[in-house]
Amino acid sequence: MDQGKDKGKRVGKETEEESRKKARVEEEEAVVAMEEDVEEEAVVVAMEEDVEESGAEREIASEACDYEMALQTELLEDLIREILVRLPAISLCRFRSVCKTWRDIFSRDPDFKDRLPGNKQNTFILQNSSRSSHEKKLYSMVYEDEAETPGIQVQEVPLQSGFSGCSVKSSCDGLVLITVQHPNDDAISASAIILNPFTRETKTIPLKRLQEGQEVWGIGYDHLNRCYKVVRAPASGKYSPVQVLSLETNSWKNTTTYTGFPYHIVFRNPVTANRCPHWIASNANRDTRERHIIYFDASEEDFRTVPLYRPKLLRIEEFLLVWGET
Amino acid sequence: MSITTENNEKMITLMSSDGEEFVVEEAVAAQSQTIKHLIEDGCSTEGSIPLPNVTGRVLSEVIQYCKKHSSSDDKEEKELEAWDAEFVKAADDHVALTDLMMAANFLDIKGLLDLVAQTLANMITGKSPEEVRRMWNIKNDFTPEEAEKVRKENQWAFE
Repeated sequence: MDQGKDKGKRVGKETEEESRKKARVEEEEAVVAMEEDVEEEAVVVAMEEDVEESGAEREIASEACDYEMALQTELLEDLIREILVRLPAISLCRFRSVCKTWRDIFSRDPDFKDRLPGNKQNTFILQNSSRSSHEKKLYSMVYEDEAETPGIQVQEVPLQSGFSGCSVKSSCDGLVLITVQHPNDDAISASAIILNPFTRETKTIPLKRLQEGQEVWGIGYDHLNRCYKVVRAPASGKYSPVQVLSLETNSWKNTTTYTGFPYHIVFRNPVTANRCPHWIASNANRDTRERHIIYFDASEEDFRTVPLYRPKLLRIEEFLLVWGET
Repeated sequence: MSITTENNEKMITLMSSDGEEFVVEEAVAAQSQTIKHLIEDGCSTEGSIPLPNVTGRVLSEVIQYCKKHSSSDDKEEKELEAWDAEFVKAADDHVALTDLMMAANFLDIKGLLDLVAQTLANMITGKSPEEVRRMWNIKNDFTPEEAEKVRKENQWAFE
């Protein structure tokens, strides 16, 4: 009975919502128009003194006037930035939903992230060791030593519902790359997710399929284009392509460098150094067991070999460690 | 801060947007990089420096800050910190602080900008987005879909 009532209400709401949407679209257009005005603001204000009281120019003057009025009560973007860089990460992230200007400060200003004050929290990402892929979960552990009550908080990282079997693949500058699988849905059977434990943002990249155990994943920083890139390569199968995804464009492309991937990667989880994922690999084309350290260069979108000092003296086994990276 | 030790007596007149005049020592006024550059460019030799973006009420607060900070040495850091804390407390609410911050931004006084921005940041840290919108008359310009998208991306932060 109650359901019937609810349905009726919902229908009512939908039409209401539609008209509200329409109004919003109109508002949005108005906002876009206003933003254009703002860009011209410097010119308009400078001109203001010379403006004669002739038709079109009078309009400009009145607009400038409106804008100055707005300045009295509104926060300039510069000032918003000054306040936001001083916020703790979690508030910072929550305030992305204040309005579009506040949201876009994060993405529009490439220096914004560099200006964030030192991380007062140490966040670790932990994964439980359950054998069942459904029970594999991620936890964030925050260690606060500067808080009034120092302590450790552990919290499950909420991933999309229905996904399971998450697996941590790689990390770079604190961004964590994980993959999850979807057991039922045929269209999209997996996703790659990039977590920023500091701001608690997540970015999801849907995938057609995941070849667990047969491919390697890495995330690295592209110094030239100032963005992060995800690389996906076959662990040993020579014939599947190497794919690169730029987090800026959010689209995959196949690298054309290889007709076949020339490496056999020994230990699949990379170790990050110099903002590049590194692996131990042997040459897949030659019948030799000699191992190298290779890394993915995100700027060149290519794999390179680390030149080693007197490599013959060094026998590379299975572990890579980074010591004293600055 | 000493720009010209022998010229310590040199006075500068600053004029606010509402026509109020303030006579201050050059060393005090030069705490503002904007004014310092104007002085260096010789804009202050005669008459006063007009500051069209700053009202008299705000300018008097700014000068108070600059006076304190030009007369204190580094060794008095602790005392200065306490003074700063009292200073922003006296500004009372976020509207006054916002005015002060705009002036600090325009006059390019880094210490004051840091101080006020941090005070405002502390003020809003625990607040909801809606409360922040009300503070500065910010319009929520998201469509429901966009709002949901932002919320989803930040799901973790909302918990």
